[in-house]
Amino acid sequence: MTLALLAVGLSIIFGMLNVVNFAHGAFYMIGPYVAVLVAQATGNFWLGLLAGTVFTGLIGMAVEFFGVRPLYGKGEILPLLLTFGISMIFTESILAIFGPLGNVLKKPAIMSGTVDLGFILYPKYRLFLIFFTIALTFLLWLFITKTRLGLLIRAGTQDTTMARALGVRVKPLFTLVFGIGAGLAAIAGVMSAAIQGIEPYMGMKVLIPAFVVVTVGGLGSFRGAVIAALIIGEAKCLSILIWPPMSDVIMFVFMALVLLLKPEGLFKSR
Amino acid sequence: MASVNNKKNITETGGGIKPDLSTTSLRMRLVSPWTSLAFLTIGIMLPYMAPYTSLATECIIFSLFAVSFNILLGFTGLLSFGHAAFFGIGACACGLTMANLNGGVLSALGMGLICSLLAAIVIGFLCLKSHGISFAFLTLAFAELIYFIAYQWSSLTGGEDGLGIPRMTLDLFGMVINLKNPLVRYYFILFIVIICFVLIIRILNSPFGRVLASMRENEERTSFLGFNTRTYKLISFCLAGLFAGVAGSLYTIHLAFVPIENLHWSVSGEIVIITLLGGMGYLFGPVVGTVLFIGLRELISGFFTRWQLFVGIAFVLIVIFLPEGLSAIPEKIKRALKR
Repeated sequence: MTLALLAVGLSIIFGMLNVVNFAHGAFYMIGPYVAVLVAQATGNFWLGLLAGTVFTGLIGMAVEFFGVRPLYGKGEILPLLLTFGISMIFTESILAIFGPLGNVLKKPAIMSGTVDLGFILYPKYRLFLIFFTIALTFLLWLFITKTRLGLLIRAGTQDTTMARALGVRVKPLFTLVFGIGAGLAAIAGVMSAAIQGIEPYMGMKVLIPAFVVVTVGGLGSFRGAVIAALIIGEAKCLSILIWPPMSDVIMFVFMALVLLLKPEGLFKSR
Repeated sequence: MASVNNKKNITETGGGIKPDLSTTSLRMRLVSPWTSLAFLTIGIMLPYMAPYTSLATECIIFSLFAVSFNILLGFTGLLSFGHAAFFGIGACACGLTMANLNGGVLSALGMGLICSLLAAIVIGFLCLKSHGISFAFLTLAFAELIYFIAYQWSSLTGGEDGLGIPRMTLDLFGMVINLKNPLVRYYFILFIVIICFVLIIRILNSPFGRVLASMRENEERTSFLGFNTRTYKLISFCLAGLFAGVAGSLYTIHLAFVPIENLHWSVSGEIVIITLLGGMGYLFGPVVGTVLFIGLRELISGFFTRWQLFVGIAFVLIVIFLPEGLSAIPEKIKRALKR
């Protein structure tokens, strides 16, 4: 489920800004690091989550403002390379500050233990994760399709010149979108950190699965990203049951198949 | 724009006669014979300038690797994020030939070349169904696929430990080349790298190279001119894969060891950085990038382990302020002085 959140963030940044964000993994990693610092200082998981998300969102905005903005209109490759360099800077900074060893983020006390679903005992936290992700995705979808701000963002994406001619200030909107995408990545990171712990390379590890998900789902497609994340997550889990070595490979096979049969991905954007 | 120069230049170099048809047109800044000569001289002197020989060897091997990548990025306009796959496949194939099949150095080199070429044909055929960003993702995905296969198949590749192979001597028509000696090994590798460079220059200067450049400038227009752009892109991809495979094989010969990290996508990323740092519009741009990258690593890693931080910062600055790369600096200065 965290993969879905991550992919959605990546997907809106690509869909709206046409920027392939290689720094997404770095945002996914910075979020939990900040969250741990705050959570350990205050003893509150939720404050940590909030702080991590907001901080990462701001960093995302700064990256957009200083880095990506001068590169709009200069093709797709330069922003991609830029974010790649930025992800390198963030990963190395975290390594320099916190060292290569991992850390743990304690999940909130109410969330430990299991809950009886009738047919299976399921960890409370994971259940929470599922509902939280669904709710967040739904809210985001509402924001983009139903609110005025969402409308402006979509207008700015579809035809930047026209939107500006109509008096919309597009640039701050783009910065906002980038910030939201980064914030989503941070939430995904914090959420998974409570299960898997944190380490400097965690972002690098999820970045490629996230790309696969976004590509399979159709670049820039919101719905596609969510569905593809579920499919790929399932495929990965099921293949562990059948033949473990296959689990690393299955998603790439899946991606290759999808792109060969339907090069634009499962769902076309917009 | 630069002046058009149709003269056929023939440069006499140590390796023999090197035809250099430099026709500078549009944004195609191909290399002048003097630059080639300068780089050749540096190549020959490098072991005496570098702090230790194997560093120089690494430099020339990665130069070849980066230049092969630049056939795609700089001269065809395709961004591949999985170029390490061919480097790694070449390295593995070469290593396996030497370790398991008792092949000689040359047959191992040939094996690395053939295997990476085959891989490039298959991967290129599949990936080139897509364009732009999807192409970058697809190449990345295939490279990861190969990495994980190699990682899991540890009985063949040694998995995480890598594959050790014996050092060899090369018996060439009665002339024994002792590859155990680092300096001899350097010049053997340099010789092959130079052959590859001459071939690459020749290919990029040919009419075929022009078609590649025109696809970079405007793919649609090129296809309207009657060129099958997909076939041309595939050939370019295969050439890039092939030379990367040679670089990988040379790396195996150099290290006498095949680390699985060769295949990891971070190597693909490194090669992208190197090419951008040096300048993707220039034939020797990636070479400059390589020397700089390896030099920075040696300089900084001595007192600060997170040397990649500086590489990242330099890279970001280059992308924002000087996307043409460091090789563009002389030209920029020249232009500024004229003004």
